[in-house]
Amino acid sequence: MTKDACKKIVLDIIADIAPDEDLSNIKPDVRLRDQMQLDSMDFLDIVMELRKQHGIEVPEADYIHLASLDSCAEYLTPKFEALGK
Amino acid sequence: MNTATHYDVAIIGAGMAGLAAGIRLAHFGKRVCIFERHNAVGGLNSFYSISGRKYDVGLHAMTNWVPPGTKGTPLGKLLRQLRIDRDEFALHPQKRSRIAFGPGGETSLTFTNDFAVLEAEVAQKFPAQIDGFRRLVVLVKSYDDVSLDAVPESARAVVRRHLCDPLLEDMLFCPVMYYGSATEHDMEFGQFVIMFKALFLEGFARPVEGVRLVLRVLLAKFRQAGGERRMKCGVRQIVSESGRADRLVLDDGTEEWLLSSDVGLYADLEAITYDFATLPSGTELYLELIVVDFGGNTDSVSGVVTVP
Repeated sequence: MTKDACKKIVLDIIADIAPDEDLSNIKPDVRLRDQMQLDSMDFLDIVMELRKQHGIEVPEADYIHLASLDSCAEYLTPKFEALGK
Repeated sequence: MNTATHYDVAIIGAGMAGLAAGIRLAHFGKRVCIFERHNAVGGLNSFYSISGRKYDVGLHAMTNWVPPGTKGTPLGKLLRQLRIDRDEFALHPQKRSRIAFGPGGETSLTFTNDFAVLEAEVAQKFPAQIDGFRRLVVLVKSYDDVSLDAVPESARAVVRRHLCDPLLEDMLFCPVMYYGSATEHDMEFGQFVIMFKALFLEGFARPVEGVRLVLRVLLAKFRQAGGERRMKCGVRQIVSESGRADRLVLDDGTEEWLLSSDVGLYADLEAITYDFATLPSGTELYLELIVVDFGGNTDSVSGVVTVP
């Protein structure tokens, strides 16, 4: 799993839970909630989809790592690799 | 016959709130069942037809209408959380509403989904109040209505700081309280702000098909998410054990079980005592505890302890 593939997975999840957002110009190094309307419930949905679609658990203490696409990739890529993906 | 089933969550009543809560819980992987005594969903928001003509009961309009693409308001959040595409509701905004007071309705305020219409009406009918009205609107727009630590305050008291005509005050409170007050003659100011935004600053809309469509969409989402429902299946009693809802007794006398806790089976194996011949100190004991409940579910814990 490359970090770019990991970012793609996160973007696909966001597209799923927030179909009304334009994701074409999301900057990877800027906080997601500064670029679109994502509230805490939406972040819970992202965590939920990571678990449902990919079997990845994100404990509450680690939610901060989901702030931007870059930080998502840093945090999630090793988790995908640990699952052999 | 024991046909009981375990659910993480049981929801009593397939009204809009029950369906919406069920959708979210099912999204989060909970095994959820809605128990509904009636043979149709909708609860207070229902429908019927007489000689081919369709009627709605309860909800006739949805509040919080905003133009498509508007960010950060309740409608968008609600649709997103329930995974409903706005087009599925095909909302039609209202043409106009009117608040009419007096024996012949001689004082009236018309409002639409364009707030400027209400503002112009207040300026025309209550010219002495318009400055206070505008100050009130500024306060409403800037107020954090979802703050969890706001001190509850009387909405009447706050509004009276801005308006001094009791007729205008009552006319503004009338639809707001009709849609969202749990107390008589007054409401909490945060709730007033939520409803003022919902009715006046945002607006009204409805699907052409009315409540039938809303319920059909909610039900389809609930099914897709994996939720279960039991129609014509009222709940007679919620039985609790040790302060926790434990099982439901249904109208027909059968019982349904709820998981009494998220905590798995726990046993203090270190503290176990035994009544056979004393074992030499240092002997390792393998212990296993298996529990089978009335629903036929089993759980077990095991561990190795050393005899002290």
